[in-house]
Amino acid sequence: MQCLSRLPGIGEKTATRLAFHLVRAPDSEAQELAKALHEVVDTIRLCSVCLNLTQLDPCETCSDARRERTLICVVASPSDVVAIDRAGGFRGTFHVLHGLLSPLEGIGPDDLRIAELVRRLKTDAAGASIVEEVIVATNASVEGEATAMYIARVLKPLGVSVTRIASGIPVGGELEYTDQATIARALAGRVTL
Amino acid sequence: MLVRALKFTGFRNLAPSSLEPGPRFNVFAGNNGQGKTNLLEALYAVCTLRSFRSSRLRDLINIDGEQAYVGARVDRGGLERRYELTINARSRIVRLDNKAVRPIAKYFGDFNVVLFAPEDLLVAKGSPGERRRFLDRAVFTLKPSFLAVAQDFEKVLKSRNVVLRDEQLSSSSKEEMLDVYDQQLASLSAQILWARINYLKNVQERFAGAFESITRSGLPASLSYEATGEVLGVEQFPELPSQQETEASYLAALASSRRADLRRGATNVGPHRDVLRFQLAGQLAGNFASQGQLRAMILAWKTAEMDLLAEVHEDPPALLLDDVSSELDPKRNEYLFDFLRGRKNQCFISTTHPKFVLLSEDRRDFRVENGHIEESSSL
Repeated sequence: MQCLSRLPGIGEKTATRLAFHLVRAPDSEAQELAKALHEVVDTIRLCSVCLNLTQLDPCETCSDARRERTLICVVASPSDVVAIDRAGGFRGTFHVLHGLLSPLEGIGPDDLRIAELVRRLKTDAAGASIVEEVIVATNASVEGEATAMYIARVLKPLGVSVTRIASGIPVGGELEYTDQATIARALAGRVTL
Repeated sequence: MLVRALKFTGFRNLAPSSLEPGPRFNVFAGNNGQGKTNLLEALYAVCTLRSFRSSRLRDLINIDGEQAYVGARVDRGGLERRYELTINARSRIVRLDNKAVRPIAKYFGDFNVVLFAPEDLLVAKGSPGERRRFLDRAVFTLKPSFLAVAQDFEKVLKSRNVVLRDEQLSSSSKEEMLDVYDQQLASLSAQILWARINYLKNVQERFAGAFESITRSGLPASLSYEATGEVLGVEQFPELPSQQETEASYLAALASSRRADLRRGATNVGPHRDVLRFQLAGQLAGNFASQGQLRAMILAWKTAEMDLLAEVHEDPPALLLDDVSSELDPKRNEYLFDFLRGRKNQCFISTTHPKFVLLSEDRRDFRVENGHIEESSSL
C-alpha cells in the first residue's frame, strides 16, 4: 500500500483499494502488472537526441525521415510531447527539458537538459547546425515563462530563431467566461488580420 | 449586497451554529475572549479566503477539531449565492454555489467586506511593511485580479533572491538567470505600482474630505507614495508614464542595483520596498500627528475605502467593525456612526458593551458568550 500511495495522484484510500484488488484478483493479473513494470524499467530510456522516453535509441520521432530537422519544439516533460503530437500539425522534432527553472525548488539551468539542446544546435550531422527555429512550448506559468526567457537568452547568440507559443483564449472558448489575466494576455498578443 | 445567513462548524472557539443577520446593523457584544472577533474572522475568511489574524488558515480550526467550515448565503441584487470554505490541516476546499471554483479569482468580486480592526488604527505610524499590506488589502478588495499579480510577484522576487545568494551557480548562468528574473520582476512591479497608484488617486480626495469632516481642524491630511529605484518622482501621485515605460524604468533600476543586490543577497528595488506615507499638513503623520489624529486618519481612510468600493461595484460592501469604538474617543465615535447611518452597508460590529454602539434604529443585538451566539433584546 505504501508503495502504491507514493505514486502521483494516488492517495491512501485509492492505494488501499488497489492493493486489496490485486490481492483478491487472479494471480495472473498481478503477475502481468509486475511483468509490465519490469519491462518498462528495463527497456525505457532517454533518447540520446531529444531526451524523450523511448525504447529505441534514437527514438521513433528523431529517426522519422519525414520530420523536419530544421525545427525543434522544446517542452518541459515527455507528456507534453504526447499532447503536441496528438494535436497533429507539428512536423518538427522535440527536445525534452525534464523540468522548468524554479530556484525556489532548487532547480537551476544545470538541472535541465539545456546543455544537450545547445549541443544539438551546434553540431548536427556534419558539424554545422541545420536547425533554423526553436519553438519554446513551456507552460504559461511564472516558471514556464522564466524557462522560455532563459532559453531564448542562451540560444540567441547561436544565430537560431527562438519563438514562443502564443497564449490566450482557448479554441472554442467563450470570451465572456475567460479570466481577466488570460484576456489581458490575449489582447497584448493580438495579431493583424 | 447582503449576508443573509452565516453557518460555521469547528471554527476557533465558536460553537457550531447558524446565524441570520439583519440587513443593517448587527451588534455582537460580549467580554474579551468570548468569540466576537472569531465571528468576524469567520465572515472575513469565507469572503477573502484568508484570515486577518493569522497567515495560516489552519489556525482557524478549533483546537480539538480537524476541520473548520464556514458557509455564507449572500444576496446581491436579488440573486442569492452560496460561498463555502472548508479548512483541513493541509488543504482548503472552496465552493461557490456547491461547485468547485476554477480559477479561484472567480470566487471574488461579488461578495465584498471591508474590515476595520483596532490594529489598523496604528497603521499610519506602523512599519512601512504594515502600510504596504494595508494598501494592498484595499487594492485587492477593489480589484480581485490584483491577487494573482501580487502572488506572481512574490514568487519571482523570492526566485531572484535565491539566485542572488546561490553560490553553486557559475557566474555566467547566474547573470543569465538574473536577466530573466529582472525582466519578469520589472513587468510585475510595473503592474503592482500601477494598481497601487491608481487606487491612491481614487481614494485620496475622499480620504482628505473625510478627515476634515472628522476633525474639523483645518489641518489637511494627505497621502504620498515613494517608489524605489526612481521609477516615480517623490511628488504626490505624478501622472504615471505608460506601463511599458514604467517597466523599462524598473528594468534599468534593477540592472543598476544588481551589484549591490548580489552583495546583500536581496533585491533592493521594487514595490516591496516602496513607502506609503500618511501626512498631516505636509508633515509625516507618524512623527507629527497626535494619537487622536492618527486614528482619525485611518477612520477617514476606511470610510473612503467603503465609499469607493460602493461606487465602483455599484453595491455597498459589508463592513466588519472589530471593537473599534472602544479605541475611539466619543467625538470620533459619533462621526463613525453618523457616517454609517448615512450609508446603506450591512454592518457587523463587535463590542465589549452594546452601549458603545451609538445606533438605535435598524439594529439587531447578539450576545457572545463562550463561543455561543444568541440574539438578545436591544440594549
